[in-house]
Amino acid sequence: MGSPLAYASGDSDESVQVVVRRNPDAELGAVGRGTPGSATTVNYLWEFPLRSPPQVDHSLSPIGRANQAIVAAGSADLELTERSNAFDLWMSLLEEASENALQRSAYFRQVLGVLLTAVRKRDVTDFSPEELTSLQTVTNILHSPSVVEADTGRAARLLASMRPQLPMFRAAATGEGGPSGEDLLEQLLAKQ
Amino acid sequence: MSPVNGWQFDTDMLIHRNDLDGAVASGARAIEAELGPVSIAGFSKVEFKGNEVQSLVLLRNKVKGSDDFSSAVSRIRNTGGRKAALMLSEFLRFLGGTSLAVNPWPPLQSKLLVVIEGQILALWHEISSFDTFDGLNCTRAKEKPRLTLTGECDVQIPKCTKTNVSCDIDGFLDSHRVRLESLRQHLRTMPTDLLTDELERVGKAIDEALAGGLAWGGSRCRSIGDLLIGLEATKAKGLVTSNYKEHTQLSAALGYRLKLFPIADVRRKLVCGSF
Repeated sequence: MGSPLAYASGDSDESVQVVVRRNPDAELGAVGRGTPGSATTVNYLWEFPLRSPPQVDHSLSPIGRANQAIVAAGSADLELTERSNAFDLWMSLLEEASENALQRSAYFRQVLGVLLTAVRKRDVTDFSPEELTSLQTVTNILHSPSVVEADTGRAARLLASMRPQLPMFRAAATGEGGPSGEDLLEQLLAKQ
Repeated sequence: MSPVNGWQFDTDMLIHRNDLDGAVASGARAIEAELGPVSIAGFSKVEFKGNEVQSLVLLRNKVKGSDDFSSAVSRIRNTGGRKAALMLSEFLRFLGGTSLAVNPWPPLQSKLLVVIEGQILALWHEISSFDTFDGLNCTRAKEKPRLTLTGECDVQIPKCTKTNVSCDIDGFLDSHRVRLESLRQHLRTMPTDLLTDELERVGKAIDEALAGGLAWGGSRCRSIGDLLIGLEATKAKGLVTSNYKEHTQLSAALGYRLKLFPIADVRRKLVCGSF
């Protein structure tokens, strides 16, 4: 993963400057603010020692970035806050990938789908180190040049302990968690 | 754990675990937890594929082939009925519920395909992870739902022919000859008002099998699935099912214990907790 990098999220938000640079002061715990106009100018989002913040190369595809984010989320060298942010970023990137998966193979979509339902809006602390390793492995499968049928079985096995089966119908039938199934469809149809 | 030491779930119990009615789903999972690791018959995988997985594939195909959200909903309602529509609503709930944007359609279409196809994989993997009795070595039970690279979803259950199966249905039935004799006698003497269509089909199949002239093939096994599952249950501690009409009779003659899941009472919320 290389050297410590200054990191900021939100590459689609132009008000946030995303800078990826080496931070020579990192090991010393110094806060680097740089000099305005200089080559080292950095708008840091976090003014605290940047020992090993999440490292994501924004030139990569969403899955490529997700692959880096989930590695950071499982890193024992990072503070919990940083790991949690990396984990949330990872989930956002997976969701972004799921919006653009029509041209991908069905195997890719299957692996991505089982991964999304296994995680189900949980936090990094909900997963054991072994489970985080599994999430890394499955994300890496998605990052491979081509996902093949054998990968789907491997992903399902790795994620089985996280119960990726959706609790179908229960919320709808018991009236928990929002409108009934029929009402939800009608409300969404009204948006059309 | 060997499946011999545990209870066997009938196919309907596998389906109830994801029932439309939350009380039923919770009840089925509660009894599974109460009884410890349960097993299934290999043939249940064929039935599960023909029911639950087919519903998911219908959903997937309609989403994939629709030009906008409203046409997807319309096609799903028209062909899959209320069950399929509610399944769709649960996927939509997972993806964000009422806050979802339905326009433009492609991003939502893509997200739906991802989670539906993922569920096909997750559900099949879960079913496949049960300890399985498969004394008849069913070829169809070994065929998992397949997505092809071209995006086709193959979940058809082919009709069995001599050239596309390697099962041992004859040997399986022969190994249960004594039980089948007992069942034939039971079916001949039981009150006719208790004789269901499936039990009649079972009776005919037994007559042919014991005479040595049973013509297998096609989808005949699927027409007597309760018999095949009941015979597999003779090796387990017993069978858990909500299908009392057939299995009350079959268990009495074939000699397996029966634990009935009171589905009607559970739906009416008359029963909760353990059974």
